[in-house]
Amino acid sequence: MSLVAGVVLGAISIQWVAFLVLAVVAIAAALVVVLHRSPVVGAMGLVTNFLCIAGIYVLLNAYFFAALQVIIYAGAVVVLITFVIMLLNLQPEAKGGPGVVPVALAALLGLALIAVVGRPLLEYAAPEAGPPAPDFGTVAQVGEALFTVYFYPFLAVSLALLSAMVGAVLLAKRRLED
Amino acid sequence: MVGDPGPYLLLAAVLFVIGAFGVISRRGAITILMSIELMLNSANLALIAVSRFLPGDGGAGVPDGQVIGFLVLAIAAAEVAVGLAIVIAMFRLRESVDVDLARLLRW
Amino acid sequence: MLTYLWLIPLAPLAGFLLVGGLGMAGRLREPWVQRLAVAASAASFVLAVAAIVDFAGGLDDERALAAAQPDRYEVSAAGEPARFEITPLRWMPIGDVTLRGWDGQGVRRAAFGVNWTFALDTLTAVMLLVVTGIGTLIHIYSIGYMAGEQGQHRFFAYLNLFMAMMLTLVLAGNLAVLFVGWEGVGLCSYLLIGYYYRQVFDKESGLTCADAGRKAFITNRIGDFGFLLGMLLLLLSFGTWDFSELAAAINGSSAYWYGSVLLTGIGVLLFFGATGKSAQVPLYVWLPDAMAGPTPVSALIHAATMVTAGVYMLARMSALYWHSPGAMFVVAVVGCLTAVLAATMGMAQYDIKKVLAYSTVSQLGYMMLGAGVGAFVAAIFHLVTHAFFKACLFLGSGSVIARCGHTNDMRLYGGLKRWMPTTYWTFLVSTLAIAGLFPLSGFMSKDEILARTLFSFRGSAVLWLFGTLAAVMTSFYMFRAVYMTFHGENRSPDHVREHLRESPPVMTGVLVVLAIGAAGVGLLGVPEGVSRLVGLGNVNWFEHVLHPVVAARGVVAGSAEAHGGEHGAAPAGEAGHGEHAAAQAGASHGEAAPPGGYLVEGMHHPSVAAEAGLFVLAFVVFLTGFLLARWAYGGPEPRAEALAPRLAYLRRLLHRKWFVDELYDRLVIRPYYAVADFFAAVDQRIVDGAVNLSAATAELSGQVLKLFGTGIVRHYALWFMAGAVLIAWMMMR
Repeated sequence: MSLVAGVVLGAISIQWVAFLVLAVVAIAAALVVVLHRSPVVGAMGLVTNFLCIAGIYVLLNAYFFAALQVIIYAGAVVVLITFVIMLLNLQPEAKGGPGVVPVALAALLGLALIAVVGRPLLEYAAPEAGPPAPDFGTVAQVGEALFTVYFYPFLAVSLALLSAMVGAVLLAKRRLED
Repeated sequence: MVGDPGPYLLLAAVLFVIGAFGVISRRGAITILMSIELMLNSANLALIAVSRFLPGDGGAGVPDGQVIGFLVLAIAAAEVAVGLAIVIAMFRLRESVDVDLARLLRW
Repeated sequence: MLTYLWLIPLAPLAGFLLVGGLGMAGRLREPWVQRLAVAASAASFVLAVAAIVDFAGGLDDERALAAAQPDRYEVSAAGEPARFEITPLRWMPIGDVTLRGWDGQGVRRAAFGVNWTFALDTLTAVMLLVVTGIGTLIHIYSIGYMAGEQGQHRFFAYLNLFMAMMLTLVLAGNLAVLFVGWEGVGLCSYLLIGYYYRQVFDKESGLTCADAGRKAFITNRIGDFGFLLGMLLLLLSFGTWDFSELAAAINGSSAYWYGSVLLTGIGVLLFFGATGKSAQVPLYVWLPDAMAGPTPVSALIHAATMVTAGVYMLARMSALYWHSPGAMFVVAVVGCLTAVLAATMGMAQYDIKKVLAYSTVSQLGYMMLGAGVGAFVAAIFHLVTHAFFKACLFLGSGSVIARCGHTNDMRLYGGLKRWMPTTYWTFLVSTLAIAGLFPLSGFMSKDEILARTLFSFRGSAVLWLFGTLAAVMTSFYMFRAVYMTFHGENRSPDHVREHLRESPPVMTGVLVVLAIGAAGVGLLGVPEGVSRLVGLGNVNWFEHVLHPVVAARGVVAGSAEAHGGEHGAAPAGEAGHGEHAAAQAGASHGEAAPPGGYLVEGMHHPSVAAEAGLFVLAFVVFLTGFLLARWAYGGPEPRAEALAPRLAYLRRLLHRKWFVDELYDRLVIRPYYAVADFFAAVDQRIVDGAVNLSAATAELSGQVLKLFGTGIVRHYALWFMAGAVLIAWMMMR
């Protein structure tokens, strides 16, 4: 069932309304991140966007992931970014951006990508999926998959995190010593 | 109840494009990092949406998408940590976070 | 001793390595340089004599040895002329070659390999004695001549290397080994001509000695190109380079090969190589310039030994030439032409060494003439006698040059007889010999060649006439040199005249030995006609020894009747009889060629009157040249100077050597340079241009592509995204 058809036929559930509201706010927040010249306002847009997406995860029954999204992204990442903004005392970006041509090209490419990816999505009528499995989205289910099938990627990612931590410390520290 | 992943994927695509546009059009390193976070998030959204609607044991939904999303999350956290460290180092060097000033790769 | 044949070239090679190596390292003082070099040369002489004595004593022991070790030793069959071959080293096991079937036996594969084979027969023995004997004498002479020069080790090392290479050449059992020696002596010639490489030797053209060496080397390369082609044709035709196998193959199917175009082509190509090495028309031009080298070098390499390699090669390949009248005719004509042309040039030179050089070219022409008319023995005999008297003449001129302030100009000599009696007398004896006075060696060999030219089936009266003309000129220019150098008033500058004296005994001793040789060696080969005139019968020992090796063997079908007369079914190729048989057959057919063609070597049977006439004529020829020279240059005021204005044109023509160098410059060298310039332009413009174009294309594309490398990360992201969109589009399509 495509989006347009759903609206027209009035088959609008409460989930639909919620999705639409969250989607619109998420897009608006994303545009704020990208377009506003002040990094602080951008960070606020980013946290709004993250929260909206967390809401959509709830709509998708991925409760555990929604919690992760709020804790790590909206919590840790945005706090970190805001902290750096404050640390560096960043001012709003000066005017006179990168020039019209690259921006226009980027916008054009973006539209092209949406068209390329979106057209099959609109045309494709997926079979109606039933209600989710009872344990979908639970910590138990995700945890089981993570520590069985995805064990080695999990290990690799933890190593990546470790090295990122060491790297970040080194990068930030070296200049402090000068 | 939204019954198929189409709208979610479309939303993910739009968010991804917005993020990419931000990476290309902005000069502030922090903003670019935030745009990258947007893009990673949109990818996660697509993953979760697909994982919810794939047929699995005892009803729709498989955990794989969420697990991969989890890994992306971890990588994103690492990326932010390193990225911000670079931003700080760069700021110390140039008193600015304008990426256009860092053009040593130029011919 | 025969089994140690390979030591003969090795001894001077060891000398070369020792003298050259230690000399370069500065570990060898001058006297030791000379002693070592002379010892190495003398060692090869002793070894050669020992080997030849052994050889002359019969080959029975060696035959048993060959039966036991057929890979290493080979001895000719009982009826054949004696020949001993030793193969101390395998060399190039090349494998199968495809024979083109030009020998009428069909296209086929044949195993081919080249081995390091040394062979000894009487021809080689003669050459060995000449090379080692005269070579050693000249080594000894060099001690005196080079006294006081710096860096003698280089000179003596090269001389030893030359000896090694020349001995390799004459000992070679196949063409490949011969070619090694052939090129090796060419290399040594180059090195020794350019010995004083910084010195300008020709003031008119400003050429240095190094240039002269280069000229010799390049001219020889041209000839060697032909020689190599001949060798390769031989390989493709016969599948072997071994002399005895080649001779057997040709003689074995004589009827097939006689008059073959292929053999004629090969013969002419090989002879072309010989024109380079032996300084014949058209490649003789290097030899006069080779006089830039030290005089002992001129004597050893450019008179006595190396330049005769071509004659030796022809004699070695005599089986081939006997079967190709065309090639022999070319050889004879070129030889005769060379003899005459060089003699005319020799008459107008003032440089004493150039006179001798043109004389050498002329005498080599005689040798070629002899080989070309089938008188191989006479040609080799002339080679031997020439080696003696010309070496003596050159060394005598060296003695003069060394005492006269190192000038070659005869106009600055005169009256040297007073100061240098030994040099004078030896020079005079050699002059008499080369001019052909009766009992001396030059008469015995040169006039034998001329007689053969007249009487041989392959000769002709025209060639004889020109040869005789050249003999008059020979006598003239040699006596001219004697008169200008040793008689009359001394014209040297005062500071030179004050120090004029005879050369040291180490030099004059060698001169005396060579002069005795020049006078006496002719007695080894008194021509049959002469000995018969004085009622001695045939006492030509040289011919007796050498003739079997170079005799025509094999016979054309149908010529058996020509031989038939008295010998019945005698094997036609039997050496020594062929001449008689043919002569008698010729007589019975009324002096016409035998029906079998000219393969049978032979002469028209000269009458006693004709031989006596030739004998007298030879004396008249000698006397004519002598009297002319005496008339022109003998007086207190040379009449030649008075005559000069009237003969200016002719004199200029002869002095400038018929303008042959200028002709070659116009016809060959300049067109060659033009072609070379053209190809240089092609190389620089087109070939290099293509390379540069591709480089420029790469650079241009780089210049364009670098515009994308702005250094701004966001631009890279833009291209990255464009790529991503493209790939997404391709996947979603």
